[in-house]
Amino acid sequence: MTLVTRRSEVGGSAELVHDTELLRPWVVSELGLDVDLAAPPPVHTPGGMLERPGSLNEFIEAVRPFVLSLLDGPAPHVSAEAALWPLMKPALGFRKLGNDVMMELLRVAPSCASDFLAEHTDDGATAAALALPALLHTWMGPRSPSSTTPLLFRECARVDEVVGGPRALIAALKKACASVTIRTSADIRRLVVDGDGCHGVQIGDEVLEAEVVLSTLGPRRTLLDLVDPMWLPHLTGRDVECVRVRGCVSHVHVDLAGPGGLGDRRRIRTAAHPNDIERAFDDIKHRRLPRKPVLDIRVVDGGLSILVFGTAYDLDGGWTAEAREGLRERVLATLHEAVPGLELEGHRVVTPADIEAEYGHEGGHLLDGELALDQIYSLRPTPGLSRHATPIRGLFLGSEGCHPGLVSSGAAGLLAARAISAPTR
Amino acid sequence: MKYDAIIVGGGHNGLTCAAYLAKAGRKVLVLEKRHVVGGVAVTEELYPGFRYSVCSYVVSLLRPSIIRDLELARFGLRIVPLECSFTPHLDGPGLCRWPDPDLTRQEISRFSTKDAEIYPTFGKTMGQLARFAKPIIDQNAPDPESMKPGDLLQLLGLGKRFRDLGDDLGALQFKLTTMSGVDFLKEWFEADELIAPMSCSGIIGTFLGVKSPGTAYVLLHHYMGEIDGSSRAWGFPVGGTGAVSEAIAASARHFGAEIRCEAPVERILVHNGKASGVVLQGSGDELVSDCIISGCEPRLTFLGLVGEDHLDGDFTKKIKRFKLRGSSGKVNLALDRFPEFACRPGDGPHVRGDVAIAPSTDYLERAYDEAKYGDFSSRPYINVVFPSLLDRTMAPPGKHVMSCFVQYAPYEIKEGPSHWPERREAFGDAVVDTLAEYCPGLKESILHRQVLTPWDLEQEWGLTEGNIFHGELSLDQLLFMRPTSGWARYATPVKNLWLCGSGAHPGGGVMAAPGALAAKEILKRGAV
Repeated sequence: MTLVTRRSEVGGSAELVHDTELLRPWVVSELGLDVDLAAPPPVHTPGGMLERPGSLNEFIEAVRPFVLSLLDGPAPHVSAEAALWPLMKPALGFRKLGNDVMMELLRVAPSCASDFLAEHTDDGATAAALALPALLHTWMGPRSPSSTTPLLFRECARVDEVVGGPRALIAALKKACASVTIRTSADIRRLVVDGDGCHGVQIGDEVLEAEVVLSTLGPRRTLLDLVDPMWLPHLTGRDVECVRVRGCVSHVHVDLAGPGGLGDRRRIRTAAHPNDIERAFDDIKHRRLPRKPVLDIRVVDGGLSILVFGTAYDLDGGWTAEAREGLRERVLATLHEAVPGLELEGHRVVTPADIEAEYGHEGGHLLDGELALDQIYSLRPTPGLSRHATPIRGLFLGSEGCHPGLVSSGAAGLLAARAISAPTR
Repeated sequence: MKYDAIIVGGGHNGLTCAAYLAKAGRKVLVLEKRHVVGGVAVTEELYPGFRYSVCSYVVSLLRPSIIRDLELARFGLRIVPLECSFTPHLDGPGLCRWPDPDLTRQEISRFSTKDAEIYPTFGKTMGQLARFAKPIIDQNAPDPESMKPGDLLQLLGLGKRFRDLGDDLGALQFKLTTMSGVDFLKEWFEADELIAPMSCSGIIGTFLGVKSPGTAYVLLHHYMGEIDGSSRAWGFPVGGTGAVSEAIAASARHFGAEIRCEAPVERILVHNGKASGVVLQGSGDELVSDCIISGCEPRLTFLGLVGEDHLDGDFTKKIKRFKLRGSSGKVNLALDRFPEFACRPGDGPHVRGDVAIAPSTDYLERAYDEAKYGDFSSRPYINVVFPSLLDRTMAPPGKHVMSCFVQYAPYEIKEGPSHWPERREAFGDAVVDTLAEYCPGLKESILHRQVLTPWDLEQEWGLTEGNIFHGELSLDQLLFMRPTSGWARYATPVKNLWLCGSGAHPGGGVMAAPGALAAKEILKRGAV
């Protein structure tokens, strides 16, 4: 078994996403991952330490078993010809919620996050801090209908995080891959596909043969860039072309000269109200630099890892050096406002264009597919591809651009592996 | 005297409900607070010689079955199809979409030949999806909670019809229900000049932008409309939208209903959890009946006319949560002469349909963005109709009325809704200034101007927060959730009290469907 990556080291973009709270427990136990897990440090907002409203917790408790039943297993294949049996299980799980909770879930799932959160809290900073991480991989603001759905997914799926963050997770995964040959800096040209299916990968001028190829690049890149269109069924190609991958997020890493200003805060989210996030989304929609970017800040070794919401991939004029500088200025201004007294040494800005160029995520989208009601579960990334197999024999998809679409969860990869090992496909 | 049923509110749904009940032999009384019936489907002469379709201005989904059952043609209803959809531009002749596919193809190909080729296919596909969805507005809302065989059959029927669509159409139907109008259209078309006006129908009366998820499905309405059997046509009622209400009222009277205007209801009498009558404002007269039907908006009905004291806490919470959030305004102009569009002069066929100020999706989205933070759009989306071009009775010869539906005008402006009167004229100015960019001679030709803000819609017509549809038509407030889950079939928690207006399934627009379905349900349940 060989793992190939274009980059010089494994880990992909995990370091950009400083979150490991969605790592699935069943992934940890099935792989026997050598990680320590602990409750993540509290989040701080402009209004103080984040406390989840009791009524929200109650609702999440009530729906969690059902939501996790959707996220923690394969998605059923939905089709006019397919048997209805696979849908019975989720349908029964849904009815088991009881009439009240069932109707409530039906009511709130298509609603916008700001309305949903306003029913649980009057505090703008609390609402904003809850909404922000859920929106990072969508193309929505808190006032967009259905933005409650990714929020529910996140709230239900949150568990303890990995001590040591993404780096520790990657190290543990590497350990679990001890028997795998890892080739880095590989010049991946295309997938070797013919009428019989996928037979390997072309790296440089060499062909690495394999019976099965699992791609954790996004579904679009895998099927539209690496596969000769001649072998891709027309309908699959057409559906995959429609998959939306508009990245909205940048990353900034700053090195700290000292701990000044932070106090005991380890996680900080800067929006004082959901409207701050909505304004940043306005900037995304109109393809301009964020007037006031919204930051999700995590203290890491010697510095801060900052996810920045408000940066459109298709910025008017493109991500030039000037645009990058403009972003940097605005991020630092917002940062200093949120954490006065910070002493910074250096910084590194990764724009959506960089996320695409350096990490291979088309559109700068860290999940390789927006979270949207028509791009989740059995429809993620498309109705025919949600079970990780493709119409091309021997080719499988394992990125979070497939179901379930949870950042750093390990779920898509392991579900794909199970699909590969399944006796019948 | 005791009436079999008293209907509070003489809007077109209340009138429809009255007509059906009267036709079934019941003694029905309709109480309307204004001096004319029709609610917001009303024609008024506010400037001598000029008649405005004051609020609602077109008809499309008025149910053919209702037109037939109530013999509305016999009572004067005549609808003139709107010939086309014109989108003027500041730089170029604009885009006009015609009933004639060849003409339309020519127009679109100025922006994209690919789009011009695919446009008819899109229309056909949407027609197929509309055929799937249409029965939903003619039936009671499906009820997922119910285990009754009839209800399950209805759900199964829906499910089967969905599967019959096949994979392609089924997936498309789901996308249509969840995506934004712009995203959905972008899967078919590339020219923003075409996508912009097409996406507008998704946001009418809604506080959402064309790029907001959930705005694609309203595109279907456009394809569901039929008048006299011809598909997809929007129409203008001769005599203005008031003529629709007058025809329904005439029909109701013909079947024996009594209609009183200038009879505002102060409250609905409730004894021991049962509605038993109404009290009139001013006189304090009590009128009794064992069946009270409200055509008013749900929050006004329950919190205003019934009162929280007669409702259980859970229901009150749900009604308080019912989203209204008016986002539109109206400007009606009486004009000395026709205001020609610089990009396509003349009062030819291109202006005898609807005209939309929607030059780009960015323009439309910016108009929405401004409103989110408490301001009306400085450059709004405007949907214009010139009724006088289609119906000579609307204005003196050579002169015109211009009906302008405007978005966005948020009820909650940042100064507070009660400050709308101070902002009214500035709002009217923004609309006229925008139109004047396209019609240079407009300002000089204005004889009279009426500006209606969400505040005015609330104060004058009882539309809480100025929402023209008696409640947002969003996914969480439709079908079995309208107005709230458990109460989506016209009955209410107060015995003997029913809803028949747009706040009930299937929602707003001049459809008359809620009124008819409510009457049928009331009769079926033997409540009257």
